[in-house]
Amino acid sequence: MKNTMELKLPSLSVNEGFARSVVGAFATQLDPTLEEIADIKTAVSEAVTNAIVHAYPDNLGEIRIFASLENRSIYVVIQDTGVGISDIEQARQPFFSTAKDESRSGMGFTVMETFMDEVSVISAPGMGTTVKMKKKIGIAG
Amino acid sequence: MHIRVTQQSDSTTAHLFGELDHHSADQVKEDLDNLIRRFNDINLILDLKNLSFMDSSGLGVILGRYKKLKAKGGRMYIKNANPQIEKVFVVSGIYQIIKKIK
Repeated sequence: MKNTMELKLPSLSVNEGFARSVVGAFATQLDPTLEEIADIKTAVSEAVTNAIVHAYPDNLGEIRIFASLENRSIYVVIQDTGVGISDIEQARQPFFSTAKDESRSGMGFTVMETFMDEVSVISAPGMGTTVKMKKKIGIAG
Repeated sequence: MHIRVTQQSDSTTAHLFGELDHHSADQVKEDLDNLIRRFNDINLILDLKNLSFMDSSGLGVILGRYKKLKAKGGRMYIKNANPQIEKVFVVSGIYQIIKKIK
């Protein structure tokens, strides 16, 4: 049976921990391993952080998170209506970052891709960004 | 998120507690920078035993501090990363420049 959830948050960094915890807790319905939960939480943290840092650099905006559980898989969509990405391929490269802050590692998308089975990005300048991720739970079982 | 510092004869250990993400990054950065500023030739061990979560924002914090420390002739080591954090480290290749110790 399919189950779904939605979460709407202002782009405050304090919500990063909340967002990953909520999606991680929702995923427990699929009876995942600790590692699978940690993977999902990490990927959500990266996507939400991207929205906070890059989508709304100078103002607060809205971040929407949708998750669904279906056929032993979790689907997560993280959506903002911020500045958007002009070159998605470049943004997904390891160690690439547009942020001026030297401590942005540029590894966000690489971590999402490593920890989830599928990651797709829909974005255009001025049009916001939508990140869709999928992970199968219990592949070994 | 907070840091506790202990001194050994040949090194200083920063014990990280909590979750290191973009939200807590600035605080951790400031605390570690203060620590690095106070010492010359420091062997700094980051003990992550009580760090329950870290994402790529943590990588940026650690790499930035590594550069500062190295510029002062110091060395950095990482120990006790949990499996989630270990996976982030391995993906990033950070162990090619910062040594993992037991």
